[in-house]
Amino acid sequence: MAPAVEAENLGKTYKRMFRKPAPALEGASLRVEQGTIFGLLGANGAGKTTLVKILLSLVPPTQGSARVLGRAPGDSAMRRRVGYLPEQMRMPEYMRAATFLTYMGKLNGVSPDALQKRIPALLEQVGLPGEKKTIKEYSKGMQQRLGLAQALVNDPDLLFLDEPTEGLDPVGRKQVRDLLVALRAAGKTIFLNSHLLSEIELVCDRVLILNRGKVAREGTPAELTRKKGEYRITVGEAGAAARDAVAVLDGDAQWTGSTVSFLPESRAQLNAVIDRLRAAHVEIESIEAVRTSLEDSFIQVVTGDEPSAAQEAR
Amino acid sequence: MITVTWHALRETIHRRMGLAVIVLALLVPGFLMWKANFRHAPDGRVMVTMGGVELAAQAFVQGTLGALLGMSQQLWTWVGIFAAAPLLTSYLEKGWAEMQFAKGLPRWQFLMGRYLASVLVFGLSLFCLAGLPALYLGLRTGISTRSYFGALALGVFHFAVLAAVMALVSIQQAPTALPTLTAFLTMLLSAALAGRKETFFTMISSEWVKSAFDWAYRILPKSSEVGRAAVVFWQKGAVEDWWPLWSTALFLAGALGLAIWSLQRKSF
Repeated sequence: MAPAVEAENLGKTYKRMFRKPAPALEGASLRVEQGTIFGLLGANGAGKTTLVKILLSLVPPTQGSARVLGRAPGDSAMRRRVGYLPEQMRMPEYMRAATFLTYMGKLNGVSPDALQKRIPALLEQVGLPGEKKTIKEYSKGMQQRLGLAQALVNDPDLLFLDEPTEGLDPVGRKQVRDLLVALRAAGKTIFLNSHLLSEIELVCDRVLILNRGKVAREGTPAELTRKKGEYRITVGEAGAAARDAVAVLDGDAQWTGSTVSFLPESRAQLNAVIDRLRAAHVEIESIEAVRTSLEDSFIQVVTGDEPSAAQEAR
Repeated sequence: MITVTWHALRETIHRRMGLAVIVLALLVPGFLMWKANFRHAPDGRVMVTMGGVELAAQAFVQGTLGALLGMSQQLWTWVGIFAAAPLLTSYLEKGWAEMQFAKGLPRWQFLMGRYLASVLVFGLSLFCLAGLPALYLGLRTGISTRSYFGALALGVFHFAVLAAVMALVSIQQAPTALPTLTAFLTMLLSAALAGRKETFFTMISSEWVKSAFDWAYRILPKSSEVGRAAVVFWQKGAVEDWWPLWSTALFLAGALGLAIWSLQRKSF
């Protein structure tokens, strides 16, 4: 199956009058498979929005090439199959949700009959059922929901979402996450640009981290949240027996309540600790290999504090 | 494109500007219907009384429609510029432009749809301001006002040129101030260049500078000449000099073409 998005060596440098040109994106290559959720991460000014805008032909690249749904980004027929929710939205304030969605649908060539059927269902889907107020009266969260609805109005095969949960409460965020998962299950491809790392970690199949316009890392969330080599054992009661059993670690163990965290020298040492705990009749509730969170990975990339090869090997 | 035009027309009503212009224009025929009294004199001539003054229908129609035509070429065109400027700029506002241009409709259709809407609003307001009185007076006095509509069409053409200038400038600078100012300047400059031989050339001796003025005159729209052509068309039912019209039409086409080209290349 052809990829939904394919970019090769994409770059954009903004020319500025009387100032040095500002590179926003440098040689970014990526591939997004159909039917997946692809997360794009990066600090402010990393080039995320520029990359999305190039893929939607809102910004022409200064280098490289891209194909979206097998066509060039400027192709009108391709854009009819795409939905886009920009980070900064401005909607006509005098309109009501249904008229706004009708207009946006018509811009994508959706027939009035199809829109009449689709819009009530769509408003229901984004949590604005039967909404009659003008957009001017909407809260930030409601506008965000409407923005999401306009991105879906043409039943797109590919969705570009720039901070889709911005301004939403926790329930709204959960609804959006569930919606994204449901869309993926329906075979849609989602290109998600978000600052909320936990959100990316929860729903994305692959993640790309951009740093200062360049691709810093790419992989599945599991690949990016690798094992640290540290283990966490939770016991029934952190009594003297339990503390004696882990004393073999020579003070490297740290107790927090009934959980002990430590970095064993080897797998044999880990097993020895478990054996000693069992021998002392300490009840083990759980044993967990500690992983770096996506946030740790992201911060390491952005601050340039990448782990050494030795640390990785452990 | 029709979708965009229709949306822009709705917008002009909601933004009140277009609505205000049309309501204001409707006051003129309303006042005429309220205040003008028509009667047949014993010799069969139609006489019109308004504000205590009685005039022969011919003189009344000439005077009234002449004043309205003059108004449409100056004051009303300015009002039209103010009313149209938001239509030609609002679709380029940050956050709204990205959302629309990511849809399947080509960018040039947004520009042309908006442009068409602004010309339609002006045309409709001009029809209310001067067209309805012409129809009314024609019906009540039996004097033909057909050629007057040709003159009004030339007024719309003149506005269409200024709207094209606004459409072009708005792509470089989205807030309404600069496009509005440029349209006014185009009108003023055009009038100044039309009279260059009597004004500038008496102060300038350099042939090179004179030639530059001549070329500027040839290239820029000819507001004064189009206005004169409208008056001539009303009086004689024909265009005497086509040069100002076709050269202005060429400018219009060039400005729109350049606007489309700029919009196509612009980053959002």
